[in-house]
Amino acid sequence: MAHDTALISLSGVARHYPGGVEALRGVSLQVARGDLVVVSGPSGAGKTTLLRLMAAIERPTAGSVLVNGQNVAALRPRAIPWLRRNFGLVFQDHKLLSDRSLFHNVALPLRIAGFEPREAARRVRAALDKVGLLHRERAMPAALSGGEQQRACIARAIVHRPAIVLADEPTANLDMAYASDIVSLLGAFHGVGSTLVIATHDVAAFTPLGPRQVYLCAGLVGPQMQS
Amino acid sequence: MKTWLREHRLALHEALGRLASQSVGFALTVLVIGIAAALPLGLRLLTGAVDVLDRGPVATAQLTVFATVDAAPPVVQALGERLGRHPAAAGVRFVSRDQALAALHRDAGLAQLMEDLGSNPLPDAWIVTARGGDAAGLETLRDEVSGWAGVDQVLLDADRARTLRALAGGLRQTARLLGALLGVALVAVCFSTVRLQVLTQREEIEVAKLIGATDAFIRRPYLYFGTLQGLVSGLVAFGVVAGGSESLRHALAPAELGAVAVLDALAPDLASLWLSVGVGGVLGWLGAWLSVSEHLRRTSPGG
Repeated sequence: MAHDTALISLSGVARHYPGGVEALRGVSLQVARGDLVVVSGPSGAGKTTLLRLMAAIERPTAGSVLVNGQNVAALRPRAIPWLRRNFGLVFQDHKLLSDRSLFHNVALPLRIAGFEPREAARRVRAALDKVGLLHRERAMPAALSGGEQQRACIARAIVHRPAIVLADEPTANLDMAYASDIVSLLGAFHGVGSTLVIATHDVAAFTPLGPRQVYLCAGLVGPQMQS
Repeated sequence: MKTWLREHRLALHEALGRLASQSVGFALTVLVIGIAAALPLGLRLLTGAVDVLDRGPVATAQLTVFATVDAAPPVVQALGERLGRHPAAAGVRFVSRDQALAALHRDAGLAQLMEDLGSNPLPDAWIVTARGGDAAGLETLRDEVSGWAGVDQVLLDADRARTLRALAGGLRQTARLLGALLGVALVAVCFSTVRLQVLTQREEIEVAKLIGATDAFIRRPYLYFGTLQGLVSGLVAFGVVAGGSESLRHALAPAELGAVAVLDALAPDLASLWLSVGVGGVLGWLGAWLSVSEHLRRTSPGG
């Protein structure tokens, strides 16, 4: 894949933490527009760090991360929120706000982006409908099951129609039926042209979507497999 | 512009929601700040009242020249004209012995005593104001006038003016110092109350940042909260001072300090209202801004 056509491009990226922990060691990876990339590997391989670097939540210790041609490490702090609006983030721990209803949780990215309330409400309900949670829009996160919370997190990630969805272990801690639902949802989102990067230790669950697979081990990229 | 206004409206709405959810705590906080802030505001008014006294007839550097009790009217008239022409005198007000007696009857309740005396024991007098409030010039004038024929006694009233000026200066300094100290205290209180909110909302702040919220977006509701806290504290301070000054005016009214202006100066005016509310609002905003900015700075590893 040509470097200059990549939506996300990592080149020689390293990420070291205090105490000598090397989460990533010289990772290079290109993600093109419309790609579906599954990053797999054992716990501690650096999958989450890779996604955090792509979303500019962290900065690389060495190497460069380009998103839409912008060098994330060189961005001024003020520019980072605007870059992040290109992403839909699905967190392993959901990160739903416990004191807000499901509706308000999903509406948060639209509020941040300054959407007009009526249009925001329409989009929120459409997203909740897509993930099958429209009937629970008034529920508080604590009242949702693990699977519902994960679906709510996906609804929040896609509600503003981002160019890229980064999902960190979206099927972790879910039983097979729920996991299958989540995989189908992400597959449907990819089907309408979105770029997805999914970090998971459960590659088999995503195999039906025919993703490009990247294997990470101890901070290094193993052989890439294109299905 | 429409989006900007909508964002501010939503932030204000959110701040009001937080305020409503902790109304008792909010009320107690603004009460504490308001009562504390009333002190410098009250001192400011008191300084204004002392200034009025200082400028007024009670305290203006002036001489009181008494004619001898038996001075004949032509002598009295000549003395008056001579005083009026003197270059050190800015103004001369004649108080005849009859006027003085009438004032004594009216103001001091000495009517019976005066009637028992039979004749008017009071002399004719002149109140001489110094040109440009020059007390030193008046002292020279006193020494000069004391030697004039027909003059019994000359009293210089500059010491009280000096005391009042010193008092006004001291009050002004105290008000400034207290105002500055309490301003810092208000910033600190707002910093702490907003910090508590930030800590309880840190999960929301973290998520909002992750999904693209700017620092301005995160800060906005807290800034509105801090500003509201400062504004309401300013209003409380104004209310405390207004209530206090009203009771003080009632207490002082019978004393007849000699000028209605003095009592008027004790009443907080519109400028005092704007000052207390405006300064309160700005300091509340500042406390909130410092608080949220400090949190954002500490929690922004990736920006």
